[in-house]
Amino acid sequence: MRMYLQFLARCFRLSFVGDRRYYAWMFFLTVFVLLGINAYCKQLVQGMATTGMTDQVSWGFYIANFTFLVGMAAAAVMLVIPVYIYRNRELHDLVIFGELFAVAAIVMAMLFVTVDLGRPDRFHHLLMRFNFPDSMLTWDILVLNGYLLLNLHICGYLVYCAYRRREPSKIFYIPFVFIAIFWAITIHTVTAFLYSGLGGRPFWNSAVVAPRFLASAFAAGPAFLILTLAVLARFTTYRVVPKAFMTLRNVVTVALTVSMFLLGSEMFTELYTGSAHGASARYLFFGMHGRTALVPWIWSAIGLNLCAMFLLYLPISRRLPVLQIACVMLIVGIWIEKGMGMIVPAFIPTPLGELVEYVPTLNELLVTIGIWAGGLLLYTVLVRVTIPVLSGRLTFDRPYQLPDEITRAPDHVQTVG
Amino acid sequence: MSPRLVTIPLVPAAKVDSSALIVGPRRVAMTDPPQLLVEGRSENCNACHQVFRSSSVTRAALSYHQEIVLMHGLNDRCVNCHDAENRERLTLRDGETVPFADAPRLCAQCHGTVFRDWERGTHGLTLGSWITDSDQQRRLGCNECHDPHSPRYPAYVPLPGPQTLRMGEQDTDSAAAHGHGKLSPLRPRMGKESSH
Amino acid sequence: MSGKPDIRIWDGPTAARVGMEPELTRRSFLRTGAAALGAMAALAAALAPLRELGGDDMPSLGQFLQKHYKEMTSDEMEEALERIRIKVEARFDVRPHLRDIKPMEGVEFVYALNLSRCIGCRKCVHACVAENNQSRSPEIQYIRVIEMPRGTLDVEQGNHHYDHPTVPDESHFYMPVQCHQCANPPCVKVCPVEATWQEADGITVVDYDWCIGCRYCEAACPYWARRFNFAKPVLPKEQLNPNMSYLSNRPREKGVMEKCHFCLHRTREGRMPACVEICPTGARKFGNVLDPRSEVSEILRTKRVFVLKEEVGTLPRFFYYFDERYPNTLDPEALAIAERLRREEGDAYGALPGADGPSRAVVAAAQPADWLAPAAMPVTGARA
Repeated sequence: MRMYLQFLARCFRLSFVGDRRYYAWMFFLTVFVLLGINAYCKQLVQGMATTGMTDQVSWGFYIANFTFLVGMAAAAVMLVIPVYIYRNRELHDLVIFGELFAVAAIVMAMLFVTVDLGRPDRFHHLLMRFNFPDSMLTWDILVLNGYLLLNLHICGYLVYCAYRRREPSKIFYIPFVFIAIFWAITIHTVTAFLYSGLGGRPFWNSAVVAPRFLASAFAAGPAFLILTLAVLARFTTYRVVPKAFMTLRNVVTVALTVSMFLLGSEMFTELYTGSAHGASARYLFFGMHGRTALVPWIWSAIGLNLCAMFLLYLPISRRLPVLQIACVMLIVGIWIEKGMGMIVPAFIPTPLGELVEYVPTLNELLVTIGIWAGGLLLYTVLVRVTIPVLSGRLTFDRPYQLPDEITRAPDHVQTVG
Repeated sequence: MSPRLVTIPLVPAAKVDSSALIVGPRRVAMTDPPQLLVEGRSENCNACHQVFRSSSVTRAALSYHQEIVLMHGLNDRCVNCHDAENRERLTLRDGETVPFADAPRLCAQCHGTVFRDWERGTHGLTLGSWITDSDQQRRLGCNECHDPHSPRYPAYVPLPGPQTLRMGEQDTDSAAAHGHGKLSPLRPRMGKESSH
Repeated sequence: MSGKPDIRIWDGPTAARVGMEPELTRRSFLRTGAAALGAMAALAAALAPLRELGGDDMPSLGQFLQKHYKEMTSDEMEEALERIRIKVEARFDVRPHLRDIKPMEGVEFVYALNLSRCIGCRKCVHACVAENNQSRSPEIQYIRVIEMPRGTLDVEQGNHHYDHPTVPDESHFYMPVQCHQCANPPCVKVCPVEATWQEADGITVVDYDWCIGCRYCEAACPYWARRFNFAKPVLPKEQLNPNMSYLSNRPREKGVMEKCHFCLHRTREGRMPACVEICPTGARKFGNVLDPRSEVSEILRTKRVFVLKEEVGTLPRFFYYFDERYPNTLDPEALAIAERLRREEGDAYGALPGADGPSRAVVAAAQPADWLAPAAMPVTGARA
């Protein structure tokens, strides 16, 4: 136990160690985190009216980001499958990066839900009266927390074993890994069911919501991991094998294709008949009665996704710079399509036919950016700490060793790890 | 407004005069026996009508009671409802006269379906209580809502529409903003040109 | 070097330079300290808006520990009521008549609305606001009156924001919508903390002290009936209605949901809801559907009632119907007959048989034959 606490303490201290670029990045993120905290405090004092949400559009940017991030968290599992099912040993470490990302993404998602609550001071009511199994929100709370614990356990166990320089015992992580595969699909399916179970919102009341969510998540998540690995390859000493990029690229390409197909399927079903069921879809894609706020967004998203898909199919995307561009494009495209293109249009027009548009306020944006910055901060710290452990430079029996440099303490100084 | 806080675009509350929200009958029905203000005094109808001959049968021929607006559709002869012999009674079609308090029996002769609904409680206003036959329940009579000479309701000035948070610009003109599409058989051929 | 072994945690760049002694520890300590202080100052600045939190924004300990409505004993309820009374008195200088009213036995409330009679005057909207202590700014109104073109029930073709000089407008009918207290309520199903539930008399209620403000119910409602307090409600003191109950019209706080509750502080004591009493045309009908002699039972038996969005399966307790006359404007058919008769009859027009007027034959030619018979009408006495 003492050794574990020491491990945590060393990790904490190590997170403040880095070169100038690291400090610049962390400082940059911290500024936005503080701005976000400030904006959220204003929201606590004045109420949700500091956001752009209204009775007509009662869920907006926060829930949009929540949905996107749950998807990203689920995508970590896409690395688990090639490694554990297809026994691709070289990618083993990627699993940990993916699952650390899942941890950060889940934390961000849960923060987004928390800032969306009108009365966060009544959080404890969830523990006292829990409308399970009727309310899909209760399911979501259970599966998200379970997924967080699952990933914390798997990563924590594997990293700590590396720290202790002992072989991880299979029984403590293999079953959990397989559970995580199934659980990852569950978290995003349950999140999709939050929306698709509502008969009063025809835009959501469609069977294709859950498959769309999963497909777009499995495109955006691994794409984000590609970007992360590219950053690691550039800024740290960690060696990333090209095979990792290529495997992820294949996953992204297939998932993106499926996602676009499902989007096309949804567009057809909503728009072909001209029925009242498709009113929100008409608003989203073409505008309604002069209200066109979301039209440029959705078409940009579709354009970005199609370009990314096109690029990914070309052999040129085997080259990292092009692959990264494609990844950025599709992450932005999917973020728009899943967030503003999925959550907001369901409220416009309202079930009584009123048209009120939604624009996030500056305060809302600051809180959002603050949470993203906080999540990236967390992920950076987790990765920054994990890499030395996995490469054997931070272990229980030795002091921390800089990469490519072995330092020994002078003999007259006794060291305590 | 503290500089630490965010400006929220609040709209001031709609002004609604409390006189628009008074609960109760729209009109005061005629008393029974009926009375009218004559030179500041309240007089029974027969105070004049037993003395003067009043044989007018149409509104146009009336030389007194000028304040009456008669817009009762096909029913435009005074003696259809008012007893020609005794102005303090109303007359039914078979010649029977009824007091003013029984005016609904008169209305029922032509407005049978409405009267049937009114008896059931599905037409007209019920005040006080929803409990059937309770002491607090008060069903309004025909003349407590309808002017018997001009029973059609006058137009009302609508109270202010919704002004909710961040509502944005909303079109007050229904025809422009909504209504049936170009293909619909109900496209704007119906509506304004069908009546008057 | 002292005799004691030099033991320290060996980490960090200061210790990692090749061959160097860790002699910069004091400087690094000061640097770390300064950084930490700076970070804390920045955090304090970030948290500064919290200083604007007022006394009544923060929940008291009693409020924090308050149980769910269904779990409170009557003593705990009385404590909660007293807390609320004190708060209301402090805020509005009026001691409210606040109680918790249980449903009446053998009652299931149903609402019926006669679309032939609604003239779109919006008195119901504002009477409700006057009765139920909603926020005036931001504005919360439970009832929305929709101006509909003839020939459709598709609310998307309606207009909420009509603003004619007078109503009713001749080419439209008017459809007010409020919470339908559905028998299969989607809002109750989705609430994660059971802050909203349906009571025995059919009213779906909200415990304002339990709601966490997630707004899932607002997303779930197919009739857009639920409202959220996006800001601290603004209610002028003189407009407070002191006749309150726990589950209905006591003043709410920011961050919680609310909606039409059929004025249960009135209806559970036998009175009519505010919207029913104010309606000048009697278009609104309310009562106990379990009583076969109630007005609403009569309507459900004899009128062609329908519900909105029936396909969603919510089983609303709010029924709409049209009377024989549609819509409530001048019936164009009647005018056409009147015009024709005026042309044909001349001076004799308008006289009913039995009075001085044209012969029965003339009138019979103009009207269906059975209209002539002065049948012994079953006129029962006026109920007024």
